[in-house]
Amino acid sequence: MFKSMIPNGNHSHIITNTIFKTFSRGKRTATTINAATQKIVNQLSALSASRKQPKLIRLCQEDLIKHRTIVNAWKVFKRQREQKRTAQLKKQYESIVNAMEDLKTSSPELFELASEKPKKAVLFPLEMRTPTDYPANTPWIYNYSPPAKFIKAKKPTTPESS
Amino acid sequence: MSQSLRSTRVTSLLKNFKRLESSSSKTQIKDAWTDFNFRPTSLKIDNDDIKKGVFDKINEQQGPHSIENYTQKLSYHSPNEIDETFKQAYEILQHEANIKYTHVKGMEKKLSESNSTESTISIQNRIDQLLTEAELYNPEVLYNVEFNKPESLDKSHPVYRHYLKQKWEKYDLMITMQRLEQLGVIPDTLPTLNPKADVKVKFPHNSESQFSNWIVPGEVLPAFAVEQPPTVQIQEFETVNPNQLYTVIVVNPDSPDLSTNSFSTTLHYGLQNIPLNNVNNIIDCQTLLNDVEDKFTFKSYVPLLPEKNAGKYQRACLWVFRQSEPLQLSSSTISSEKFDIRQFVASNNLNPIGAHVWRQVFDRSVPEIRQKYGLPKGRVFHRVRGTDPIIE
Repeated sequence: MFKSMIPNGNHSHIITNTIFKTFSRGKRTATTINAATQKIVNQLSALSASRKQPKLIRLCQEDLIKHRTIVNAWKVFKRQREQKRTAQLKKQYESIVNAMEDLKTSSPELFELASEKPKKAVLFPLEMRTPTDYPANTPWIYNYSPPAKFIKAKKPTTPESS
Repeated sequence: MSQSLRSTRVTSLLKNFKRLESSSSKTQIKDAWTDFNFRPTSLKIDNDDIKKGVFDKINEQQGPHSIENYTQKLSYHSPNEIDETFKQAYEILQHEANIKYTHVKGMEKKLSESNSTESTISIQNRIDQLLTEAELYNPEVLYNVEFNKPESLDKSHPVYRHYLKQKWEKYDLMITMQRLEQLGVIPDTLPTLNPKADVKVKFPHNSESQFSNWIVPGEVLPAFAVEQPPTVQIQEFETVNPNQLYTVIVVNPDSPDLSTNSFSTTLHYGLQNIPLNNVNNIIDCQTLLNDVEDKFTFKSYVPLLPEKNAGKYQRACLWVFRQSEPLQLSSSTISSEKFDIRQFVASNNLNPIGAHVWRQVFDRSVPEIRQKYGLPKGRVFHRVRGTDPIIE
């Protein structure tokens, strides 16, 4: 009765599904198992069976029904939220497709521009100092002033540069 | 949780309502779960104290009604904020139920207008599904399912049948199918079974509880325990057509057949044209007593009475079929010896929906019961040395 209260209580079940074993007569073959899965298997094998059981809910009958009703309402709420989100995304995607189709016929040049793949993202600012094994000879520049183009935009957070 | 939860819900609910208003009917249902004008009272918690405990705060001085022990009662504490959260949850779930019931009203209107049988059946199924969905999360229903006996549940309502089916599929069905397969009932009698109904068997003439309770499929029973015809309960989970008739037979696929040095199937019990529904689903001695003109019985009950050393055990295989039309079977046309069950099922257009099995061996009560049924004295088989089959 209580086991059904907690979703995904049985972890071991999920793991056994990912173990693939090929049987062949007379020949022993090792089980192929994902390294990450093996790690979880090892961790779970260190736990006793009773610890892997879902937690028992000690409530009186009335409160157990209340608890289940709350869980059910939460499930319903989450499902509706997810459905709404999916519908919204679908709508957005459809409108993007429609707009692009429209652009294709009306102005192919603009379509080319719009459908260009985004350039590779810049992960580090160009100004950033290259990491080195040892600190710089002048670790801090006290009278540092940023280049003129940065002054208007935003004050840089890292004043460090060599 | 409450504020954000409500605000996001309101828009979606409004949309739903608008859609409903334009499509099916204009009568909105409010507070469906507290309105018993159009819902059966079986969806209520019978005990008023328990009901009060579920819907109101549990009084700390008195303790929950469900706990009997006085000290435990007083030392019990509910989780924090459970009542407030429960109220919100109830509101949300009831709102969903209201929408479902509004749908049901629309479908019922359609049902009254429909004229073809096919559309009527599909609409009826849809209504059942909607009713199940509407009551699935009702806390009163949850309580009844969880803490009341299955016999006391109202099987005429689809939601209770839904929960009973879930329970059946979790344990009893698995046991039944395992026994049918391991004991070779499938495929020795019929090729396979697509189970649709929970079939239970008991022999109520026994005084010992060991034999008078519902028997577990595959049990080995002594001859005295199966002396009288069994009581069979056939619990259907789908809504049953009011004119639906059922056939029940018991066959023994292990009767020794000396001419081929093998075994043959014997018919031990045959019932036909039994009207059953979701609520009245038991075939018992009352049914048989009312059956004065042999309307139902086409083969009167003869228990399996295995002769000595006739195999390891004999299987009594009980099959339940849905009929497609009323049958006119009689004992004069059907021979119980060398009974061909597959041909019987095919020729009568029967649909197997459930099965049960028990086993029997020779025991001390067999000779006496053979005498009671006017059967000849049982043979005693011996091991015959040799490899050739006994064929003349």
